[in-house]
Amino acid sequence: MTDVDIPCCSGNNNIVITGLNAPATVFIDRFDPATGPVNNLPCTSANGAGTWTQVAGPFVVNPGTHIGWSPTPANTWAPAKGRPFRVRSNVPVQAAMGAKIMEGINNDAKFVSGINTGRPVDVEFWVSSNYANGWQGPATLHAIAFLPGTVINAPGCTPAIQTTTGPFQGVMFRTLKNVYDIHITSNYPIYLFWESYSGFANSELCIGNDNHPVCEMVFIAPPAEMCAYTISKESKQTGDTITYTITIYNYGVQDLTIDVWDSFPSGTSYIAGSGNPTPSGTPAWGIYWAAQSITSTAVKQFKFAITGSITDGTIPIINRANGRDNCAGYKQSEPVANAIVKHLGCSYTWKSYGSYFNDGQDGTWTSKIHIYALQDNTTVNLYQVTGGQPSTTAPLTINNQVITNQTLNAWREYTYTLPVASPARAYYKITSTYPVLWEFDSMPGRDNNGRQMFLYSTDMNTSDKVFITRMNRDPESNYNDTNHGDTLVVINPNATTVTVFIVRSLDGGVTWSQVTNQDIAANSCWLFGGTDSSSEGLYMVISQSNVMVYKGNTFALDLGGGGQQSAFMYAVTPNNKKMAGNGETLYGVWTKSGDGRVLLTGLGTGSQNYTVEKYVPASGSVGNFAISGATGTWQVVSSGTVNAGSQAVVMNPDNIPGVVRIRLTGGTAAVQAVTGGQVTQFWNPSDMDYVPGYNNRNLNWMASGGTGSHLLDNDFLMSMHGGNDSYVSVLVPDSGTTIYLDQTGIVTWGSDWNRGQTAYTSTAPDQVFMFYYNGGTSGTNKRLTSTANVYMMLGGTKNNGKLIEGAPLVCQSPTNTPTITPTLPASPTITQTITRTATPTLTLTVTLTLTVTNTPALVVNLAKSIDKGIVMLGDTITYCISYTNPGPQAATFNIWDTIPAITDFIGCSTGTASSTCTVDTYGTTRVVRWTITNLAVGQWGFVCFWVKLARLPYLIDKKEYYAMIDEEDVIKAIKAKGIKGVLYSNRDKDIDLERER
Amino acid sequence: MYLFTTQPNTTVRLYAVNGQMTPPTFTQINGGAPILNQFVPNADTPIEVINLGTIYYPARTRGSADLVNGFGFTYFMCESDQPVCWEINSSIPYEANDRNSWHCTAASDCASFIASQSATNTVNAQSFKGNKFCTFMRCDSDMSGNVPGPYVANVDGNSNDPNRGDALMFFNINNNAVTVSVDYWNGAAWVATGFSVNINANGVYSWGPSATGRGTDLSVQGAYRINVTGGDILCYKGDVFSAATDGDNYFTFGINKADGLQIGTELY
Repeated sequence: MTDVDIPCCSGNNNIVITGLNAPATVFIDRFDPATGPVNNLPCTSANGAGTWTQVAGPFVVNPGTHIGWSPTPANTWAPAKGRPFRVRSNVPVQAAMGAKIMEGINNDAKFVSGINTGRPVDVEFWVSSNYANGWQGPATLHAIAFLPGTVINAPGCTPAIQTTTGPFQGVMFRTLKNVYDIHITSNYPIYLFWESYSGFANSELCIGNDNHPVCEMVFIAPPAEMCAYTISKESKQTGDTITYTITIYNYGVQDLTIDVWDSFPSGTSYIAGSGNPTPSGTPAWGIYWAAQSITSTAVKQFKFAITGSITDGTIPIINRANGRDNCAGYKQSEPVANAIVKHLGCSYTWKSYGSYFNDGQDGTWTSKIHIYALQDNTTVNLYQVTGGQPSTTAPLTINNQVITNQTLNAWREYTYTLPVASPARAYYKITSTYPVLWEFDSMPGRDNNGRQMFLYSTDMNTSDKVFITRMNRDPESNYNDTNHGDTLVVINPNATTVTVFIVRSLDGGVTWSQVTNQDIAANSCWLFGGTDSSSEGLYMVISQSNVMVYKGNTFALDLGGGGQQSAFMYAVTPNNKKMAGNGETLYGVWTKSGDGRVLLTGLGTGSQNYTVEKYVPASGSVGNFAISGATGTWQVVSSGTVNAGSQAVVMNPDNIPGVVRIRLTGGTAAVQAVTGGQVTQFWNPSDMDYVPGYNNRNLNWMASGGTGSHLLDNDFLMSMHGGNDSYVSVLVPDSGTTIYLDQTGIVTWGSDWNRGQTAYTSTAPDQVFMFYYNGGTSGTNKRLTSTANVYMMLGGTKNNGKLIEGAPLVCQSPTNTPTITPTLPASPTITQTITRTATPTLTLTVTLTLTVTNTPALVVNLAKSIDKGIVMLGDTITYCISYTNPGPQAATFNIWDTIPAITDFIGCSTGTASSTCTVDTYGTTRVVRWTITNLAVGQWGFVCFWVKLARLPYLIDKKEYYAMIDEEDVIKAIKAKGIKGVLYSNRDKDIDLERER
Repeated sequence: MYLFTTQPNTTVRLYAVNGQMTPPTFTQINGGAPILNQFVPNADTPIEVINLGTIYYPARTRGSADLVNGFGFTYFMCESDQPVCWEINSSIPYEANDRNSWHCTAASDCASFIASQSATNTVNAQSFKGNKFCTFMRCDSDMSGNVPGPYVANVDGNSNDPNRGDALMFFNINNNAVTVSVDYWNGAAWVATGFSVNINANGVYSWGPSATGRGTDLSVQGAYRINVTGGDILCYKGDVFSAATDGDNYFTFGINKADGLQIGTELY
């Protein structure tokens, strides 16, 4: 164990170079003394004589990565120990030099320098571990913070995040095996100290049963500086209000006199009086505090608040704070990202539908619906119906309200836990006063529960700047392993670099803090994750330019064969579609070879040429995830042609999951693509997704004013693939909608109501039809058409591993208006006959329409009465409408009735104290209307109005009125319509219908 | 731990708090009384922080009698009204207060660049680059039966070997020659060692204070001050040159030529 036993420059000795802010080209030089070593000292030539010789390089080291270099035998020159080397680079890098650098075995310890300050105090650091000798144990990181509430993120360590609870605290992180480059960030400045984990079992100091203390170490604590400060910025968002805190820490010896300023981002406005301390000014461009005194070692904070000034849409807000001191100079904080969303209200209600398939057998079922409000004062309702394979003779109606008037502010989450017990399936309708995002989410399993989806943005786009979602850990044994659980993959389809920010809330959206930001090269991808128990929570992705965001556990380490099989989702385009045409590109994620594939379906007419390409990270697959770094290229996997109405399949050739894109290069057919594992063959644990519609494939939610979605359509084509069964649900918003579905392969179960049928008609609003295709349908396409727009979903039956982004909520006219058939009083008797008499007979057909406003689940019983059966010209008619509320909740609703055109309105009564009476005019039609407010369960009331029979004659054909010009016209109309109920009276002449027959 | 003042009339306070990882410790480092609170009238004065009432372990391993539930550690906070430099050397005591027990053995190596004392009240002058440095040079440990605790194989320290223990390496990063001389601290003042060397432009020279000029033995162990004329240099200290070590348990960050920081474009 002396130097003579150690070959020069053995593998133990190395240099680890870490890239920081920009790709670096580096060289390594060795110092060659003029004469050899004496008694172990390498540099004893007279006057230190010698030369520097380049011995390695150039190497390219990308930011956030490292290279490890060891002297080769060719560089032999004993002793190896203490041999001088130097690293030259075109841009700043960090270089650790020594032996077994952070391999975990007993080693030295040092403070790490931040990449912004170059000193040990900073808010951002990189550390790299070398493992040339094989990993021998974890290293440790110590962060020493000044301020309470300092959030230190150390992804790749355990724990991954720690937050100080008071001033001047230290916290420890342990690095994880095989995590080599660690990006440590904090919201406030910290010192970062790095050491090996002492006393590891393989340590040279731990022999036999002895557990001896630490390794040898020497380090120099960071020196104080004469004048220096850090500037950091954080935001707290409460609803639509963003409050910024700029923190300046004077860690120098001298006092500072510093100018501080910040800008008001476009689309926002300053909230008057929010500046604290009182700013020196708030001109249009921003806010500033001049000549602020901050004494040595003191911290001073500056606060102000802004709010959004937009009316419809989303604004990502990304900016920095600035500081300048005559001694310490100018500095900028790291950028901080937030977003404000404002959407227009809907005249009726925003609503959408979804379904969730489950076998109900897993006692640990924790599937949930997460609802994310996007703006303040959003009220959400959720309706549910559960049912197994249809066992009745009618479709199920989604009418059980499980969330009632839940009001949320922006970025707050509301979670509904799906019922645990059977039956196997649940169907949902969601309504809200402003658009929300919602997602179906079951815990990702490690082995057999792959799941994935693309997020919709806050403007319901698949490619956009602001997204929100929940990241879940692996529920199994690896719940503390950041190489498991959910990951995000951000796809930058642009020709320029895009900066993306990750913002997180661990308390359901109450408080948000920025986790990291990343520059993603043009046409490249970046993976963020996975998720362990300490990092589980809500995440926002905020980008400067449009990106697409995948979420799922497809990339999790050790995702078993079942998991690789079951995940799937429809691919999306950078222009917000899930079905593409010639010249467009679809993006997706496939699992590893054997299962991973892309299933293409042609739609429309003709054919379409396609090229499938896989994403290849520039830095290769480093660590455990298949995507590393944030730059890469696309390589062609396969090309071909798919005909309309046909399928094409392209398999993943690699044994790792990855991002895939499908470029459409020529033809007339539209193409939809399912990407994942064994897609659209829905054995039990399969994932789920909506099928995109064909007719509305180009529809943009924002452009349509939120009135439509590419998932809400009347024409769908779904490709069956593989040998397993498939489950399809059709969610039908409107009553009377008839759907037509290819029956080939449909399985009948028990008293299956749909046996042998090819068309099914909804009997009420908000219904769902369920279908089940057997495995023999592989390779076929199933087309669904309908007389009104519906949603089509497909997936497997097991609960675990499903991830579905809920369909965007749309604003459409209420179609769930209950049809009320009034019970007329026993007397008078309405006789639907025409009698030729000198005294006209009044035959009444009463049509009553009730529209329930905003609370469609309300049940209100109405009855209308009239005070006389036969009226003469000039008579007054009194109509009364009684109403009762049988429950289950208090009801606020409108009653309206059309004033017959042959009458003149006289007056109306409020009936009860809580109602008001209004007469509205729509063209030539007049309507009397009452608003009944908060009618308690079990309560009743009535309203009345009076009219005078002023004109004759009129014919009423149910909802149609025919003004009589002359008798002949009336008779013709009667005959043509087959009218049975006729209101008429004589004016000057009688009408002899009998004669005209 | 050794602190070195850079300016006269400096008050230094040192705080310490023990920590642990599981469960994590969140304790204010300067929440209690300082373990050192000293007014130092002169610049370049070494303060040895070791013989205090409590021994502060940089770290303790799992299985230690006093920290059976995991390894612990100590966070320090040094507070002063003038810039100071400080360095921490692991003492590796076994059970008794034997702070030098294993230094420079085969099992343990260490190396570091030394922060410069040349805080000349110019803006942010302090860094690992400068014309004056202070550090504590330690001899090899002596394991030949003088150390409490069990014998440990492969440890063959010899505190009297002049070719073992800490040595220095001077990096002349200038395009001109510089002159380096070294003083030692006699407990009250700096005294010239008599060592001086002219180092060629961009040259490197190694030196130790022992009689052979190769290391540090027990007779010369102590605090040293390195003085440079002709330019700023980088000064490296470590025991990796010792015959007793196998040089596989140490590392340090490279120091940037331009500003003496740990990040840059020309790192030594």
